Amino acid sequence: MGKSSKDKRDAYYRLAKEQGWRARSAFKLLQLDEEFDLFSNVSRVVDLCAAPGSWSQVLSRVLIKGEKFGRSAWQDRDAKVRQQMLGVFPEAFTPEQKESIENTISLSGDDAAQHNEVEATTVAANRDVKIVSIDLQPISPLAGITTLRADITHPATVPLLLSALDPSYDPAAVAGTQAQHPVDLVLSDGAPDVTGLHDLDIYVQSQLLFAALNLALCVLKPGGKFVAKIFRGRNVDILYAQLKIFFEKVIVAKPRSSRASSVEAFIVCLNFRPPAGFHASLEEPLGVGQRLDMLVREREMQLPIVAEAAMQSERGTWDCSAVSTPATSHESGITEVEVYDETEGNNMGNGARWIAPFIACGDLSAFDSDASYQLPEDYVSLDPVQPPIAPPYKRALEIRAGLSKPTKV
Amino acid sequence: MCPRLLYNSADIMTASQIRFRRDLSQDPVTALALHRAPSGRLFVFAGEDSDLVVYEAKNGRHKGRFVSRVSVFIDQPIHGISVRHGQVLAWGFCHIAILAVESLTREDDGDGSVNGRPPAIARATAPDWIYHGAFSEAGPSVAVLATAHNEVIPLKYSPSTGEITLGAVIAPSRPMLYSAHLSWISDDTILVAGGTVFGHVVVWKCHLLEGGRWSTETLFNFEGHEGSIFGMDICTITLSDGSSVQMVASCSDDRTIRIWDITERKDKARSQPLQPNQVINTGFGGNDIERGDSVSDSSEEGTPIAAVMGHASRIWGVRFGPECGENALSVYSFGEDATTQRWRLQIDCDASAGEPNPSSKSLTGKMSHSKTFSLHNGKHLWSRAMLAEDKAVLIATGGTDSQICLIEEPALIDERSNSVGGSIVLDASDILKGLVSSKEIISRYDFLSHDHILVTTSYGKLLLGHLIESHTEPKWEQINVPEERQGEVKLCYVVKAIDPTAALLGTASGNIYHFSLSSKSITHVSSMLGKITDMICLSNKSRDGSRSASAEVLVFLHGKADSHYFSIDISTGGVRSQAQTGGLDPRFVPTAAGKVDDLLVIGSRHGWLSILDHKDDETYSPILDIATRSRDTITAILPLPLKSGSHHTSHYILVTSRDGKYRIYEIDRRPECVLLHLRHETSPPFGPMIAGAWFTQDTVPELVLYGFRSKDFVIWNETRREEVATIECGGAHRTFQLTCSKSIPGRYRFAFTKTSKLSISSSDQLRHEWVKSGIHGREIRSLSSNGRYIATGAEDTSIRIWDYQPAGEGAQADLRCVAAMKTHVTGLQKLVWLGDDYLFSSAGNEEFFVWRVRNLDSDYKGLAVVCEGVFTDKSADADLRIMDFDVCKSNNGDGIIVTMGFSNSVLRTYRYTSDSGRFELLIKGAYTGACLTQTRHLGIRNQLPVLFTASTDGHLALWRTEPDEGAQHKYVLEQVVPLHQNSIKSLDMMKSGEGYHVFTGGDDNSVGVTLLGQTSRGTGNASWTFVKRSIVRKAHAAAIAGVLLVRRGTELLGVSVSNDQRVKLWSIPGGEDGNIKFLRGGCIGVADAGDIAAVGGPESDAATVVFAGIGLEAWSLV
Repeated sequence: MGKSSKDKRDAYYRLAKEQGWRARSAFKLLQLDEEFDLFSNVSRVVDLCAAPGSWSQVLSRVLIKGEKFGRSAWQDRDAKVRQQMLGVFPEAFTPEQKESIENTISLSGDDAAQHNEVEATTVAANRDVKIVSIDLQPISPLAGITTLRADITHPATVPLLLSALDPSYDPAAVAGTQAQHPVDLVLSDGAPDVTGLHDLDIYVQSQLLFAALNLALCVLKPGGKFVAKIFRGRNVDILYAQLKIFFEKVIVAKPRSSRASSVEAFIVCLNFRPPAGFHASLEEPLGVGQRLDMLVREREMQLPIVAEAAMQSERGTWDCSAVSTPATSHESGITEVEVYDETEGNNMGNGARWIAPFIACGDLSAFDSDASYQLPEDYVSLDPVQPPIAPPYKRALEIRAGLSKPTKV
Repeated sequence: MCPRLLYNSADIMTASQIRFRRDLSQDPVTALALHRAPSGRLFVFAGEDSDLVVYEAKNGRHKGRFVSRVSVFIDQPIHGISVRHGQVLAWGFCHIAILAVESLTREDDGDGSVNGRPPAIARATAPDWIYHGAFSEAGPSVAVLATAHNEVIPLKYSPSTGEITLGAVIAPSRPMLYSAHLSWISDDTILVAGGTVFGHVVVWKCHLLEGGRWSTETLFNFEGHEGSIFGMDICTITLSDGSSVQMVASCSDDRTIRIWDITERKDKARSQPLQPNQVINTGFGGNDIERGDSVSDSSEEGTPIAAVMGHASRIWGVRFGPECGENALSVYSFGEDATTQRWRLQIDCDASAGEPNPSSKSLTGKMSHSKTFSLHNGKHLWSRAMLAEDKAVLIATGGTDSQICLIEEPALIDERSNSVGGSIVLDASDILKGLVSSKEIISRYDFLSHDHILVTTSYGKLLLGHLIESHTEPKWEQINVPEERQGEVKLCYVVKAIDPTAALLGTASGNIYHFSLSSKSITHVSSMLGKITDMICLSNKSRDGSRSASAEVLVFLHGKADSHYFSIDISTGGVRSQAQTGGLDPRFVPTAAGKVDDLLVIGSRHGWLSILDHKDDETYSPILDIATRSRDTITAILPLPLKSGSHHTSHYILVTSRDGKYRIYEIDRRPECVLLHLRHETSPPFGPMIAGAWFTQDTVPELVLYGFRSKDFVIWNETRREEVATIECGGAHRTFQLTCSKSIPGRYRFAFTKTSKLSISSSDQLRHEWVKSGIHGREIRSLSSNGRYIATGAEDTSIRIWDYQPAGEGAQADLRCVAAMKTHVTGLQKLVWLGDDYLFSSAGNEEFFVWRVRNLDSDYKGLAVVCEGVFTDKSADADLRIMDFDVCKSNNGDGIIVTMGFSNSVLRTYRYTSDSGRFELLIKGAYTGACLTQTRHLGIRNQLPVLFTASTDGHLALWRTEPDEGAQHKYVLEQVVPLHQNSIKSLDMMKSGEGYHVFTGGDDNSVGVTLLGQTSRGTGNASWTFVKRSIVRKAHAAAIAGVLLVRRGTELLGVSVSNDQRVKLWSIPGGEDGNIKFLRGGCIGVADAGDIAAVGGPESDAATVVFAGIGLEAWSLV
């Protein structure tokens, strides 16, 4: 696929280049923040599997430089105009918005495709901010961010991270694996190169998730937040149940900038509250053994899990709780129906399950990552901010290319 | 009131009694093992999702015989199977099961099904993902498992109690692995090879001591791979100098296979044991990439014995095969590119032989490619098994395509000699030792039969080769040619067998000679003016009453459009009758011909077909000339088999071409004229050069095509979609001849000239067997059923049509491919049948095709499919996806109404007319910018559709039409309502009374039920509205990509399938009252489910529900 056809096929790829982001995934974090207000009262953050660094870039611009990104960064004005014209989603607009839309219409869309004027307002920069980013791949330096090159699945990374967070960290101290000054937020956007063997990919992804969680357990303060990439496939409900041990709220979120055709989603875990007596242990890491499943079962015995639902309200926020009667009528006219599934396999063998509530985030006027967009004829396709990371088979491709070239003797 | 209530409760009773039953599964094969029973029978154990399935192979049939199936795990595919000591050890993720071989293969005498109770399964759960498991050599009571963190877990099993006890986890270090291999080297010691995510090969020894104690010893940590290691194997061989060498093979993401020396030598100069707690650097060595040529780096420590780059993409597995010469070993690799490749590893033994201390020098060797087997479809060989026996090595492979192949490789003595793999290479000097000067080369040849080949040389000699066994050289006999004829033989340009006992020789001087096998002599047949370029044998009539056998031959001359027809007595070469064609365009260059009844059909170099009829006894004149869809050479023309019981001659011809396609035409003979109708057109998965075809002599004839794919000659069974043979010959542009048995699959001889040498490749039988036949090797994105046939469209850009045979008495349900079309160049989005004879397909790049489907009046059971319409009204860049569309017959009978929903939110409705294949734009519209995922017609009003759409924003929309400029109309949004949070990935609807029930599945884990009703009853101006919407938010744990509505008596049922690999059955309320109810759920082996369809019709009680994605399953509701 050529660069410019990718610009049309993937609005966020184009926006990322226009707005100077290292990767389109920056919008996923921005849209998650819009929904869950992830960055409020946050000053200490750990970003795992950070390369090429677009999430760290968001952290740097929001938390250090104090920039604010609103919906305007990813809003498809054409769509908004069309929604207005078609009378779709009228409830989504305030009178002021309507007015501004009408103004846009009257401007007759001469700059309709120019979405790149980001309204980034700057507030006073925060001096106490501490951000540590870790990846195996080198990350180009970012203002105010400590970057480490390390393997998050490796035990040696814990002391490395702790001393990066806290220069006075002493690995010989009693609480050697606990941060003295814990952090507010742990992020992980890591994913393996998928093989195509679904359950192996899900397993390796869960190992990355558990490695991230293991680090989070060492550094996260009570009440802290954890956000990580997850593959929504078979047995993902077992993973949800296990994350629920450590956090009050566990929500699976899909930003509009993540394609509906992708199994990717983000698990947003709020209000960290590890079970009493639980200590993160390097000797007994999460993700292997039956320790987590036993914790889930213990929890289940103490408080039988009541189907819990967080509903998206009319305004698109996630905090509207549903009454768990079998059917509820809402203002929107949709009857909510609760069902109970006692399928074989739900309570056998593989572990206890729980389906986390799902939230689609980034409002409906956001660019649609599945849609194709028309670009002006004179649109100049930009180069990516950062070239993609070289894959392990890069050399194989080079050698093959070299072989196929006619060589003159 | 009362009866009504009773009626309702009866409904609920039936709904709650409905059960799912899986009738057919075509899931990826993720584990395989081969087992030769003491009875001599060969069993294949396959992991198909969570089931262990047993087949019997090499049973004399074409296909493996199903023996048994048992569900071993729940919701978990089997990833490995090891058979030893009469026990089967199976694992998947952290789950382990042990079953007795006997319980899976024991059979009743008569009916062939496994006897008695379901087999007893011992189960256990390990703490981590398992990559390998192996019983001890001593017996089934001890085994070990290798985990994804480089750990070994001892396992104790008691066959009597069926109890499994896992020991403590043993590990010298815990890097994350992508592969591991265990090898017992004594009763208490295991050699462990782990391949890490970061490309390291870790080799260590694990000693199991008394009382559950253990010790470990790290032997090697090899760096060098630039990507994760996906497969490993260990072997020990004895070199010619008597030394024993232990090796590990690794294959990787970096497309290399590397062989490492892990021999433990007395002085440990080469190994560096690691301290138990030493931190090993992880991550790919940062400087590897820049270091340049690490593959051929000289004798650094940890340098592999050999390394080689292979396969088109990632390499998933590697196995050591048997020895294939002195210090040589065969190595097999299995890739993402769905091929199995054989390599020859030659170890350089001499280098170390002279050294006083061999261990001081590292072992070197060389890997070279020897053969590629491309027997699977699509991507990924997920599983492989090998069984080395005395005479042959058996290799089983399983892939995403759900197919299981069994390759039989005869013991390879020494590959460098001529006689391996049934192929012999000859040149003239080999044949005529001492008889000829060194410059004499083999000129032309043809097989008379499987037993004889007739050859001419550049010096005018005529040789008859008696072909005996495939491996041995033919016995040659020089045919006595009178001296005055030798010059003519020298000028021979064509040798053409017309019978197993006779051949014709055509010369550049325009003479035809007859060769008789019985008299071993040549006689002159005829002369003509010009150089004979080719002769086509049109028919071969056996003895008929008093008349002896004869053959009809058409002779082409250089530079002439017209050709000569002969009927020749096979035994004497006497001319019975002769004729000439006349009246062809002078530019016509004949290249192929066939005879149907009394008509001659001739094909040309530029793709023209000419039908000629007898004008008088001496002339054939064209009665029809058509330009085919090919502009390239027509290579063969043959009649289709007759319909049994029919007395007519075939009225179909099959035409192959160098454009990579084959076509079937119907000859339509009318009193005043003759017409040719294209009925079928497709390209097999090789080409572009298709050289010819034949039909087998089975009761149901199968179509076999042959031709070239880059450097290989390929024989392909189109009916079974199986590659019968692949012969490396250097490419298409060469002299070649093929003789093939029409009754024994895989029996052929193929002769070709390469660098002036004649090679003959022979086979007496199929060298490989399809134990289980497969489907697409990529995700199926769309399914459509017309009640009779199922059409599937996949990410591999191909469409296939299948005939589904439901399970019957004692017979398994079966899926048979009846057509395959590969015209799209992007992955399929959507397929829709309209009636039995129209299929529509859409994909990316705005590709949209109309397929006309027909049955052929022939014993050949292939379905005839031809692309009748191609959508051309594309946007400037033609880069949008047609996400969905709907089709219906126009209610005034004028064409077909097609409405397409595009990825850029645009809607377009066309009228398609089949006569012209034209699309006429009727209506345009646009939604908000969101990608449209679902487009449906609710009905037709004033010749225009009432439209219903859904999109990635989770909303449902109703559209009406208004007049626009000119004759065109535009879509106007009538009503739009939210239902799902984001993309509506699936939608089905069913008419119910005055309205529609709409069942939707979203990316948001929800299923929705929407009732559509009409606001006014007037026929002309009824307007649709949303009567009721309801949603189940946590219907599944992941996106729901397939929903279906089926009627069961008076009840409406919904079926949903999700990425969480669950199928759920729902009761849909009949009207506004009542809510959707969950009835039942089940686990399904289809990952990444793309679509659902009902075979036998959604309104029929006997409906079978088909699910497809990665894999395909058919379930019935009972």
